Amino acid sequence: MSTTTTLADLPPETTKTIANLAGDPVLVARLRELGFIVGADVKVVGRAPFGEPVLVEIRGSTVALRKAEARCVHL
Amino acid sequence: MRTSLSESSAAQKAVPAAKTETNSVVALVGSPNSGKTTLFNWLTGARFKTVNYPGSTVDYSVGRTQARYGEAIAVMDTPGTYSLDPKSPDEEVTFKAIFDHKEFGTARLVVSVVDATLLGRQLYITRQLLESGFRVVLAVTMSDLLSESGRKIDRESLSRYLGIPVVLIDGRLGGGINELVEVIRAELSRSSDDVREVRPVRWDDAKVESELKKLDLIASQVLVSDTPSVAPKTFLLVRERTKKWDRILLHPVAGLVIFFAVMSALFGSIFWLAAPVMDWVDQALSWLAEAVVNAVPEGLLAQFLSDGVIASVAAVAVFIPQIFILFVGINLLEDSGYLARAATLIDRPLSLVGLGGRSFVPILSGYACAVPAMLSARSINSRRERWLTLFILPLMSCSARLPVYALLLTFVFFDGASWAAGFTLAAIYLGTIVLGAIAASLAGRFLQLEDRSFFMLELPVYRMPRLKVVLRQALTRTMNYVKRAGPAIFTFALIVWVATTFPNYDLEDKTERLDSSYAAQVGKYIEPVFEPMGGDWRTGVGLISAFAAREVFVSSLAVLMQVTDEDEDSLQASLIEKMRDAKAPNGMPLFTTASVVGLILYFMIALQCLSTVTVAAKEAGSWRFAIVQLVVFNIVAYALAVGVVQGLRALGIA
Ligand SMILES: Nc1nc2c(ncn2[C@@H]2O[C@H](COP(=O)(O)OP(=O)(O)OP(=O)(O)O)[C@@H](O)[C@H]2O)c(=O)[nH]1
Ligand SMILES: [Mg+2]
Repeated sequence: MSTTTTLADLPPETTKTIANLAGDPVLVARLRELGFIVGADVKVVGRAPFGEPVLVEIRGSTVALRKAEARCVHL
Repeated sequence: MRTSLSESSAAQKAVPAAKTETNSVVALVGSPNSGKTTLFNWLTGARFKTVNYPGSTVDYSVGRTQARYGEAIAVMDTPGTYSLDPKSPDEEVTFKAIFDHKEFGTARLVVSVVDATLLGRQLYITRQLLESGFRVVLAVTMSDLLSESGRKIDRESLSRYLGIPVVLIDGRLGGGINELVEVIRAELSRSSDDVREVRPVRWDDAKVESELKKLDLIASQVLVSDTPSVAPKTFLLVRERTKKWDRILLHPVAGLVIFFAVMSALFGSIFWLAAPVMDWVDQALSWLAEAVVNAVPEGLLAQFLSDGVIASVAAVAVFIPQIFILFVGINLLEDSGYLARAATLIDRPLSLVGLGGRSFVPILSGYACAVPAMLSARSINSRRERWLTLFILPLMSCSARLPVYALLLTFVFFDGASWAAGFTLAAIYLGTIVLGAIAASLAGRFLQLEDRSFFMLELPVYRMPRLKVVLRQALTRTMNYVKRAGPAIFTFALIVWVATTFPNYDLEDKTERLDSSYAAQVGKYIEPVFEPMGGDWRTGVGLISAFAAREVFVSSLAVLMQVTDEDEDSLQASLIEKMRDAKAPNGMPLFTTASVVGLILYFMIALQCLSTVTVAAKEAGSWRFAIVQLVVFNIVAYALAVGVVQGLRALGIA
């Protein structure tokens, strides 16, 4: 796990491509439905107060995710 | 989010009478916030609330297309869902309603509603619907937002790729509705011969990924330049504007400051914005009272009308402007797109007490009314969070409590500035959030239920609130409020007036008449219960009548205090004056700082609304839940009120 970074530790304003989704099947399924698919570009555009949720830009729309969900997205 | 239960049931009732030959329905299905309800309203002429927040519709409703579109077709609005794999109760509603509705069975035709600006992603459910065997027509909404960026949709290609008819809709102006109805009609008449089996698809991960990739490709190919010579912009202007706003409104520091400012402004403004209007209403009602008294010959009837009905109605009616302003404020937030940001901002604080960002919208609408608020909790995916949200919702100070607070605050600050009352009101409202947080964390300790909690919220683009729509919706909600509270106020005006006037109705001295009345006789038995919280039998009767509807406390008090317009310039001034003169059994003033604080605290916590209890039982799926809630909140309310009143008195504050 330590070799790959996840969306949770992606520094702000850097764009990366999704390599893989892993974790709780329900979370992963919902992430896919929101547009997080392998090959798509993601960018962290901000964080809410207290560090969570993370604001992520994905294919033109912005989605707010908790860190736990962001950790399912491997880059 | 429905404004009220009655509104949604009105539309549901519209259909059974219809002579639809086969009892079949055309369902509008699509991702959250894609514009289904807007489309449904155009088709049926209904005026359901549309909210710029994903997850606003939480129940299906059925209506018939308007006469101007020809022979009526039954259509069904459904809660938004990202896929045919439901992950929260509202998504389950859609799933059941289209596959296995108790009256309509499987939907005969599905209109798949997709947002043009999110085409690739939202076509996903369209594909799932097709593979499940439904006949599908595609309605692409928000096409107006594309043209701004020099783009348009090539509908012929899109139709070819998917193999279904495509109609472009402008949800703001109603463009494309006629055509959609024609396409639906054509599809319906065509479908009679082939009977397909409809069954929900189950896709594995690989299939999901490949579908989504394919749709992305299709979306990029059908989005073409408006003017052939100019290359389309790679981004959408609306989304760029939204991002700029979000940099401020979701900023870790500024965002939070703005959030509190917005919330305080919402609750604080209720008083000072309404102040001038309240005076007019008060004046108008006082004139009306005089006119009625002059028109009706003196006697019991005249007394009943002026001291019973008019006093009751006027006591509550002066506060209607405030209720209207509260609804306008909530509607503005709903229309703008800020709700999703607010939910994001307070997800973390709320998760500390076992709730989540998804609880925010139900909590906010709880300030209007707990009943629709409990329904809107269906968009919370975690059962645990949903249960806790349902538990604390009755603590949110609904609009029925507003007249009570408003009367008590007007009493306290009668000669003071309206900002002082406004400030105190905002403090009360913020106080209910603290109470809610405490209740949630306490209830969480007893709750065995564990469930996966997640928060993934799409942030919709900001939209300029349409003032006309906002005002109209606020007016509808205010009218519903009046319709709901009105009958209770009238009934209790009669009951309380009769009980306080008889048997010695011919006594000249009004005070003596009251003290020897039936109400007073019975009241003496209940007085010991209310004395510890600084009340007397009159407060007691008021509090008991509040179980019919909270605002009846105010109207009953007006009758019990024998409000007249004889010596004062207005009915409200008279009520305040009478409250000031009222004496407790021990000869001390009845309404003091301590007893007013006690009353406010009692109303903040007590669960006096029986519709809330019924809805809680239904939404939580357990009567035990609702009854525990009812008992706990009322006992705690009473105990705290008594504790605080006694505590204040011990400190020397009367
Ligand atoms: N500009 C524009 N806005 C639209 C259009 N259709 C709907 N809207 C707005 O989009 C928002 C969402 O509309 P709704 O009709 O409530 O969406 P819904 O699909 O019913 O949403 P859920 O019930 O949450 O699934 C509202 O603010 C509408 O005013 C459109 O064609 N153009
Ligand atoms: Mg809707």
